[in-house]
Amino acid sequence: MRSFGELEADIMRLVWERGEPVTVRSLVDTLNESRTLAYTTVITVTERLREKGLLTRTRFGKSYRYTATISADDYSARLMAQVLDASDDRSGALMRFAGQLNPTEADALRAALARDAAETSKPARQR
Amino acid sequence: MILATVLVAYASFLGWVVDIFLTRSAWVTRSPRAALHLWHASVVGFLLGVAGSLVVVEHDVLEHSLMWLLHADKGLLHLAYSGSNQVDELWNVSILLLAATTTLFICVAAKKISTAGRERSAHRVMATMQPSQESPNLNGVSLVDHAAAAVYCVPGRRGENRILVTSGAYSLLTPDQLSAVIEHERTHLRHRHHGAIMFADIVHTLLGWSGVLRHYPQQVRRLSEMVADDCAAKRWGDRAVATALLKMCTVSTPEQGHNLVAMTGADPAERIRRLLADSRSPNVGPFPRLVSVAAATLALFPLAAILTPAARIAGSVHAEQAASEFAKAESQNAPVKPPTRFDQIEILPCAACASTWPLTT
Repeated sequence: MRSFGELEADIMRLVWERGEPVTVRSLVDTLNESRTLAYTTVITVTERLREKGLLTRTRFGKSYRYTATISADDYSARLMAQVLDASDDRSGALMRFAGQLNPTEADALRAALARDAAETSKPARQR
Repeated sequence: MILATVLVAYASFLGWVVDIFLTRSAWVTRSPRAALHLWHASVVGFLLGVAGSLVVVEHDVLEHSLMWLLHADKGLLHLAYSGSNQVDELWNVSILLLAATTTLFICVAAKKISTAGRERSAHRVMATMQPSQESPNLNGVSLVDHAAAAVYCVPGRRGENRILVTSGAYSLLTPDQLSAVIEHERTHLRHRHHGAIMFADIVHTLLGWSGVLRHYPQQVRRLSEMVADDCAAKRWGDRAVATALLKMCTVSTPEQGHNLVAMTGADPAERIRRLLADSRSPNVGPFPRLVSVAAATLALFPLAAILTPAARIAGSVHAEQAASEFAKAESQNAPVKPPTRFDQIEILPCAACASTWPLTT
């Protein structure tokens, strides 16, 4: 069974793809095409997304319809800003490949790399 | 009392001396994986040492203080307090302390894990949103449309790991460099470095105020990056990794850069220089075995120390039998070898600790 994390991702993706308010019933029907999920499971996770501020709901007859509070692009942009914000790196929740270099170091290392490239392109005898 | 002192001294040695040794030694950059093993073993040894000393102190402190205060006989004291309810609270002060620290550890761990989990699930949502990639380069990787170059991994449960590459990084790096970076991130996921970093952060939250093991979080981050660099370089070459790293680093003002290194412990400049120098020791010969033995010793010494007094009286039941035989033979006036020195130790049953404990003076 996949964790709630994956289900949250699937629900958000569906809501963004639809582009219009969705009912939980329609989410359940679509998700059940690929795996068995109870209505209660889906509504629990949908409500949790609403608590996180990712979804809002409006009344529609006896039930609710859900929409995303921000667009997919804005969501990405917000997350990427978080990743790239160097000061946020402390938590270790993500592991980013590179960091920051000061300008002097950067220049020195570029020169060292260039030297190394020149060295290895010489024929072996001359090294 | 000696045992408790030994354990506290051992923990202090690990917490201050070994901490500095592993931080400042040059060999750690040649064998970062071995260094990581030794770090984790030292921390485990430290925690076992502290916990062990608390468990041992429980028995000592009360009995000794009452002996001094009341000039009471040790054996009688032990019999008197082993089952008494009134002194349960005093008796268990160190155990309470141990329980409180363990509970605090669990609470801090739960909070950090749930915070990290929330942050990661947000990134997984974003990753799953992206259309799946056709390019063989990006198998199992999500491409995110963003101008700035970044590559990072999002750890999760089995099958939930994600590696994210921005479009900025995709266009900045050559195919080999990109593959090297992705291999670097895959190594982090394979070795579960985020788990080690989380453990180090929890330990630091609990113990940081005392200055003990103060370099642990920073060094785990630093060494994990080196291990991942090594795995990527083994497959794609030192230069690919070094160039990718240089291209992807953002150049800051000198003040900014210094603060960041101090916080994250993973200095890109050091990593690049290390890749260019290519001074890593190959993982052959007796070195890996030595490291395993050293790590096991560091971690398990406190347990061995705690069990030593009990081991000394192992077989004491035979000494008792020999003593009674001796008494019997003496009464019959037959020449018999005197029992061994174990008969100098008085063995008393202890209801509180449910074992026999030698009460040596």
